[in-house]
Amino acid sequence: MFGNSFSISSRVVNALILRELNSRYGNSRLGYLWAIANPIISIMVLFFLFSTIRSRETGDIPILMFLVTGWFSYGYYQTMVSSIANGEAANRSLMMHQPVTRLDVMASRAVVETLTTVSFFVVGVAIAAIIEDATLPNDPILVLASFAAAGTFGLSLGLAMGAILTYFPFAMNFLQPVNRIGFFVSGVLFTATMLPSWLYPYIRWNPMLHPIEGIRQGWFEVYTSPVLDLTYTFSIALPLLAVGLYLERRTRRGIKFS
Amino acid sequence: MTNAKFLSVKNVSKSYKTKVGWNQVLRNVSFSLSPRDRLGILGRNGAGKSTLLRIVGGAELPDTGLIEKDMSVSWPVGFSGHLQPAMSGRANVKFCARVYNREVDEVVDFVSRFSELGSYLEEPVRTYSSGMKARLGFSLSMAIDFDCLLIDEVTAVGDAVFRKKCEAALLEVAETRSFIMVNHGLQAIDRLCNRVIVLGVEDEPVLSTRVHKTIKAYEKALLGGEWQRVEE
Repeated sequence: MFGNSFSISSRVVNALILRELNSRYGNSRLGYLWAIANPIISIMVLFFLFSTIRSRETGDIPILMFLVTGWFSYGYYQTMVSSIANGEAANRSLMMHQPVTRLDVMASRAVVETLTTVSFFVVGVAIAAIIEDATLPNDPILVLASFAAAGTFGLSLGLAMGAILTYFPFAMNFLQPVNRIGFFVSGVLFTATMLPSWLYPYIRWNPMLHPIEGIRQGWFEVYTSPVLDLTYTFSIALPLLAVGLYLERRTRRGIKFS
Repeated sequence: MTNAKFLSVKNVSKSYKTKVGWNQVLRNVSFSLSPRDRLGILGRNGAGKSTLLRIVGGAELPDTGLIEKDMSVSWPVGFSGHLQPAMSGRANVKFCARVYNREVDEVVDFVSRFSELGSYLEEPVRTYSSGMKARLGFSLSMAIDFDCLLIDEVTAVGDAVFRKKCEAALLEVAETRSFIMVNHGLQAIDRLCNRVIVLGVEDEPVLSTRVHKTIKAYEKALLGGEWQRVEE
């Protein structure tokens, strides 16, 4: 029984992933190019500002690679949240099909966001390696764990948001400003060491700070974060995931038969 | 009775919240279908016809009541709804074939033959007219052999040739499978169905196997006459 529903689900998720990739990038090759050009251009502008105006506040960390690691870990979280939270609204027509559940839609979106972020990140690293002598990660496991923390937190929050949206559709209006502020306080543009140490007890509360600190510490041999605690992010994300899954069950509108 | 597939709807009710309070669209709907049963749903706009189809199709939950089935049931085949507007007709077909675990090439072949959409199949569905969407949706539902088709008005649009083709196809599948149809063209229901359910004329839905007489009585009630239930 479980095996059967698992095989249906994996088939459906597979079809959804193909559909998602096709509708995002399949229509024109320019679509893909633009999707990758967008973050790269933003990073380049920041790179220009950092290297001219702020003149090397990042210490021994190469600036471009510093920006690439921060940008894509926060971006991973951010696209994950909105993609999962919007999943139902964007795919309502697909859920007319009985085998397609809301969880399938969300799982496929999580996979697509992960594939997209990882491939964009690789492009970003390659560009950084060409422009400045970037190194490979010093501690790949910590890099992966940090990425996983950012994605899991985004997924969990997105799932909970998706359920809340069924009752309060305007809740989406809160997410965008919160994410925008999050961009500035989570360490995309700074490392904890740049801040005065009396701030540490406060910034620690931000679950998105740790994945970004983590990826920096994991990538750069010269950087050791004074606040890093990835388990904190997971200890928020995993209970939130449980709550999100429970709310998803509670707010399901369709019925699925055996 | 080895292969006795069935679909049964028991005491299904559904209300929607509106600006002026709750509006009960379905009240205690019950019926059951076995293979080869063809049910027509009659009722004015807003009587709950499409809601009933969506509930049977599993796209929506009833407030109360139960749906039991061991038939495979299609999505409500309407003008659109289930089609992805940004994707091409072909991509939509492929997606459905994958979701329902059918051979992708076979389904695409069938749909392109049956729908006669030709090169339009490569265009995004949002550029389709409602007739073309109906052709795509209907062909797709025929290509994936469901035990029970849910047909929401699709056969009422499109040109006369395609309407005829739809009816012929439905008559053919009626030999082995069942369907539930909503159609404002009452003659089509008269020709195709062996039972009808009338929503909105009495407090509770009226179920009848006297299709022709019930349709006549319903038509009379629509035109301002008194509704008279047809005795079984």
